[in-house]
Amino acid sequence: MISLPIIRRLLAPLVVSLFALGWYGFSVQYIVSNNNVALENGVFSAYISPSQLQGYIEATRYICYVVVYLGLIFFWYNLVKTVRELEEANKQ
Amino acid sequence: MPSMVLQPVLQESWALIYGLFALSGFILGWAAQRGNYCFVNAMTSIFTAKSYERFGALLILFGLSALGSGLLVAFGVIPAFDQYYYNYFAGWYILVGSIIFGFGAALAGGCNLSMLYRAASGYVQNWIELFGMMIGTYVFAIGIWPFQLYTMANGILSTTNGGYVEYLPYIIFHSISNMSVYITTLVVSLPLIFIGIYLQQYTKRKWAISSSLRINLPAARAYYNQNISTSGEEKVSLTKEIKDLILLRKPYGTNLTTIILALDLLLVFIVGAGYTFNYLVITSSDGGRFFEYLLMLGNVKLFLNTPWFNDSLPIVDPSTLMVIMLCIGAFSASYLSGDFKIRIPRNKSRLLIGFGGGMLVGIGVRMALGCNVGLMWTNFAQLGYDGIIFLFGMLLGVYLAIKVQERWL
Repeated sequence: MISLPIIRRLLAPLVVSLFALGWYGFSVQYIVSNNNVALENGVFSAYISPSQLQGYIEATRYICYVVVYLGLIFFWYNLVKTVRELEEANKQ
Repeated sequence: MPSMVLQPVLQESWALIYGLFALSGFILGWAAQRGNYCFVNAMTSIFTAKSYERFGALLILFGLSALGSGLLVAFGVIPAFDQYYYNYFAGWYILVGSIIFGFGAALAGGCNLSMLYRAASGYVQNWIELFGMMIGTYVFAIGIWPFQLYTMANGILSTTNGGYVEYLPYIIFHSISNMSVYITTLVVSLPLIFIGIYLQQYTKRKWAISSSLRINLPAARAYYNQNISTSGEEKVSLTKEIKDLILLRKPYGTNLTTIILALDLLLVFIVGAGYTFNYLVITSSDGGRFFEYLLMLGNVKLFLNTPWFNDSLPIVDPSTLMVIMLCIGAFSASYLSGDFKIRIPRNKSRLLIGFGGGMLVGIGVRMALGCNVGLMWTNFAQLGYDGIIFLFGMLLGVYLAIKVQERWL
């Protein structure tokens, strides 16, 4: 029987990885296009310069890489740990 | 008249600036989670437990931040305009907003910082508080901001400018020279640090006396003495202590967290100087920004025609990544230490109170032009005086919330 803490241990890194992917996807799809809308409508207090926006997207992409890799490493580590624990419990 | 033009200190790419702000957010979330650092709890404990330990730590934090940033300016590492450029207006709205904020945050169970790291650690009540804050920001934008803007523009119980007008060295010496900044820095920071240390020592002495009065049985006295000697031995095994902290077996002490947070602020102060708001800032504007992002998914664009959203809020800035990474940092700390757990309060009315408190937090922080981090803590580092107003307003709000909770909730 897989207990709730084990599910939490396995799911949490995946959820964070998905969140990082989702955030990057949202930034590329929505923030870039809405920044252009702000420029077209002359809302200059909402608009940010292309170089700054590019910097944001670039930083978000690298953060996304780091978070996803770490999330998958933790998921894999905990999966192996959980399987071992379950096997030992079954043997006993 | 002093200059109001930003001057970059380091030549960096925007990607690096965003990345370093994200790193500072991660450190902030990690350290605050490990140290359970909460501005509201620090103030609540004054009125409930008569404990000044955490409040003293807050004063030390403000003092260290002012000392660090002030000395960097006084010794010419950072130009003075990069310190005062983002000083806000001051007026009635800071006092009223901080009272509303303190009241709401004490009801909801967390300041802006603790709301985020607790939400990332699985506290559902703080998720609700966060959502309430987003709604509160919208209520403020359409109901209060136009009036507030009018009073700010016309100087009704308000200054009509920020920047050097709010800069204590300029107010005191009518100068932004290195010497005036140096003297002001010492005058502002050292009393804060000494009062903070005094309050902590006072609380410890009080606890020691009350413990010795309580422990009068021989067995209990033996246990107490044993613990005293154990704590003496712990001092010797410093390496074990450090190892425990690194391996997340023990939470960080209040003062260790204070020092990490002050250094974190200085990192941002140097990195962002001349580029952007170079202080730690969390959620006060990003609460509104995330609400705007949520509505963008439904093709609603608040920045086009909604007050405040279309005149005060860039679509993204380094604080956005700071907040995101604060949550990830807090989550990482809670997950790796085994603290992470989805926690739903048994008493479901706490969720409703959390939502209402969150709304007040959203309204309060926007009225005050910032939260306990982005305005109060930051403003001490800016050598302004808005932070002092906010501190007393927030204390009053927290006190009122405690009285309301004692009486009705």
